[in-house]
Amino acid sequence: MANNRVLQWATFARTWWIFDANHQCHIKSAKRIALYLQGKHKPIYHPLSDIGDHVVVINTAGISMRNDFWRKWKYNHHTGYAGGHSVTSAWRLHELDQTKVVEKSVYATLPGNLLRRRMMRRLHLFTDDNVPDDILQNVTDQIRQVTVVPRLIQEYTQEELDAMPKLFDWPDDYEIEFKRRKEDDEIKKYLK
Amino acid sequence: MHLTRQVLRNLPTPYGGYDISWKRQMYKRLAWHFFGRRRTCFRIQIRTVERALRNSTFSGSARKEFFKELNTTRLEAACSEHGVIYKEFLKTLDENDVQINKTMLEKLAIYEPRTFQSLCDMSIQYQKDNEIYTKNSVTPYGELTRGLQKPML
Amino acid sequence: MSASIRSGLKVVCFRKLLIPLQQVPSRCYKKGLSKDLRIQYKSRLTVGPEPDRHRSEFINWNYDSEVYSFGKRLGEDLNDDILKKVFLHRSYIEREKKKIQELGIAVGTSGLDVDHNEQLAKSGEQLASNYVLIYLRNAFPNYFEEGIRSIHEYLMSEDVLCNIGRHLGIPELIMCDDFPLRESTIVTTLMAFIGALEQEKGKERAHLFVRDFILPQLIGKDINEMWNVVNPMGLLTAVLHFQKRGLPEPRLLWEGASSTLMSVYHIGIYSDQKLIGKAPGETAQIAEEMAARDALKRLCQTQESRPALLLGKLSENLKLDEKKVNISAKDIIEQFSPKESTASTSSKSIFGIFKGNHSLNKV
Repeated sequence: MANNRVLQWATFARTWWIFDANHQCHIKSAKRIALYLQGKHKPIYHPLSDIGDHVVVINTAGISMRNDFWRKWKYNHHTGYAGGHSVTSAWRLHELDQTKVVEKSVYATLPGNLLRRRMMRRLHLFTDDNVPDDILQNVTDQIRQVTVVPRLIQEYTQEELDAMPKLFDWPDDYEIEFKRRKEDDEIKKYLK
Repeated sequence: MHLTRQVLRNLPTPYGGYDISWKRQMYKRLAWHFFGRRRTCFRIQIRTVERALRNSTFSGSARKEFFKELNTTRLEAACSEHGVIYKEFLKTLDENDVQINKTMLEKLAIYEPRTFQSLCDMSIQYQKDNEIYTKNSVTPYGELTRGLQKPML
Repeated sequence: MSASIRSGLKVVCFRKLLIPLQQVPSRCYKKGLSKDLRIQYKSRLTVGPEPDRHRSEFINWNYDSEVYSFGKRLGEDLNDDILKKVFLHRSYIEREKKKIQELGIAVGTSGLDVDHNEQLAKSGEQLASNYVLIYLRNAFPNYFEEGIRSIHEYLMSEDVLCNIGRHLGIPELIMCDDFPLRESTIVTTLMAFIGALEQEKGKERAHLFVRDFILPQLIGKDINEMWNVVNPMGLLTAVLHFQKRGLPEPRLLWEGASSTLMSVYHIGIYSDQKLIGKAPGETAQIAEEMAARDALKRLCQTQESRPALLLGKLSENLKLDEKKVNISAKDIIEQFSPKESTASTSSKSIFGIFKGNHSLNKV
């Protein structure tokens, strides 16, 4: 009795997935996340039926871009009024909201139909790995990462560093670490 | 002057032309599924119906394309569930003389998942025997473990 | 040309003398037809549908040939006398007798001393229901007797038999008092036909008819849904106890979206550390009940993947054990707990095994 009903329930149940965005390309990972949001990983997929899953993305603060795309990648926005066009570079948007870059790329990857907003509501973005318990409780499976997480130079031990072949030593007054220009700090204050 | 000509001049002609209700009924029949005044109002109805008839000339090929694409998406999903590449899966079926077409494979994947799984297992075993097996879609890195993250449950 | 004009004028003159000549419609256009049809359609709506009439009220009706062809259609070579007896109901004879009495003729001379089909129907029904039971017991040897009874009840129900009768073309041939026909009349006629087969051709031929027409109604039906088990977990415990296997242990296999409305739990039932059934459900409790049902299905071998019923050509050399009786669920439960009427309490105690999971402790 009613066994077919529960089978139906299990077939159309929404699974919750977790995705670690640390050191991941936001475009490549958006492609993979969009598959799960649409339900394209299920053999019962149909573009008109709403059978997508939930995806929880953690560590969105740690996403990466290749070359100097942080500087070159631009987000355009127009208010609709005269002179309302604005261009924001990726690093600035990331500074304003650390989940925004992933959200925008997933939104762009999803098909532009009426289901898009509903699918976006099933995407849960978190800047770090502090996920509320009521969300983490639902998660049953994970989506594998898109790229290999690189090992930072700080993570290498001194022995490994010594064993590595070296062509030259940096001069003592050379600053390897990234330093922001003064102008940028001023803009940041202005924005806040 | 001929007599017939004289008669024909005064011949009663059909009043008001032919009966237009048949033509209207035809359009009404074609417009049953439209909404609002497109369905009820003849002058709007006729435009919509003619556009629909024009569109229907290419909908045949469009439908085929759509279902082909849908079939591929579904089978790719079903194959990746069991860790096979879709194209390799089809190749191995062909090489082993398993004569099931894509439509039936899709139906098997949805309604008889265990049967489809056994087909996938067969495909994987064949690929392993011939040393051409590559795992599908699942990257071997980037695994979250419960120890590294916050405890999940 | 002139001839046609003349004839046209003639018609016009006969129809309505007052129509002016200028408005005479041309012959080809039939301008009034659509209007006429519309009026007819509207008047049909106001009047309502035509009452049902028996086929014999129309022309081209030959009762003898219809009855003859009915026998031929089914591939049975019965003689016409017994076939006519099959379709003759008592109510028809009584009505005719009353008519004759009203006319003042003695009943004895009217030729209405013929037999009606009641006796045939009785024997036919007995044969059919007996054969269905025997067949089902042999087809599902591990299923409970109660389940077999409920499948039998479904097959011999009025709806199913009436449906068969209608598709065989029985209703048009029935001679009875009431019209439109009652369902029970069609059923008795069908049973009378089986009785006639038994009488004329022997038991085996009648069995073949039942196997060909009544038993195929099971195709595509879920036989597990016909018998409603109230407490599947209790029954499962009793069955496992009867088979001297370990008690059932429900375990959580997977859960998903557990803090939302769309939660799903998969629960498997183990006995002696072997998985004997599993099912999903909205809550852990529902899933556990469904898993128990699934386990019962597997134990009775009535799951979806069972082999198909032997019907048609496959059943030509079928040998059925007529004396076979299946195990009754009631007996098993009484053996397990002879004092308690059902094993309803056992389900609670089993639920207590389930301590490892937080969600079930709430339940």
